[in-house]
Amino acid sequence: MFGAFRTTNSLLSGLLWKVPWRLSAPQKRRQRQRLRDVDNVIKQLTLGLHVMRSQAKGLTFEESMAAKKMYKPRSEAMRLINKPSLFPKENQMSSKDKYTVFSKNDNGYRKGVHKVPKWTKLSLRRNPKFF
Amino acid sequence: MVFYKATLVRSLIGMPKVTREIVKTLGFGKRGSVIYREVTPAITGSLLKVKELVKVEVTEQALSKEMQRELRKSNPGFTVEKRERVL
Repeated sequence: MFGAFRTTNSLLSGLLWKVPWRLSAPQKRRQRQRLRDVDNVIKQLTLGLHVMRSQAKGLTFEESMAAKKMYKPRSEAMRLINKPSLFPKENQMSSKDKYTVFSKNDNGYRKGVHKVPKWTKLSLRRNPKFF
Repeated sequence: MVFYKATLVRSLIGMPKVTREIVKTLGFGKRGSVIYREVTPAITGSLLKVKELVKVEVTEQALSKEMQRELRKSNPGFTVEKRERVL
């Protein structure tokens, strides 16, 4: 059956509104994609600052885009966000860090990242010290 | 000159006021809207604050609204040579 009268667990048994304790495989896949998207934004922002500095030194746009050595961004926030210890990239993160976050109330001090409100629009990459 | 071409790819529904204001100040409208901003550390910082919501590219030229619309147009398959007024 389809539509409003379809037979699902939640419609047959009344109140059933649960969030599973772990992410499904497609959820994890989408989570990895979102992490990579954010990595790419950071990469482009860093590249923009590099091109800006190169152009100030007289290089053309193409030359500075092709340059092997990148200028470090002259911005504290950008420099910090490029540090793996503060903001690891997707390929530098363990699966534990990608799919779970620290939680002081849970067993083992971890819970699924999907339990965090607005988790798809947040960066939850760092753990507290010693966790 | 170098520009960031930024697209708002995630909606602002449920986002805190601070985030909404940063996005508005950058000049975004609805989701999917595109802005071109000259690269400065200040703009970089603003984009960094909303990095989960946007897609960013580095471009040499900033396109005006008209030029962006021209790029979106599909090939109609014919060219208009002459127009006649029909009464």
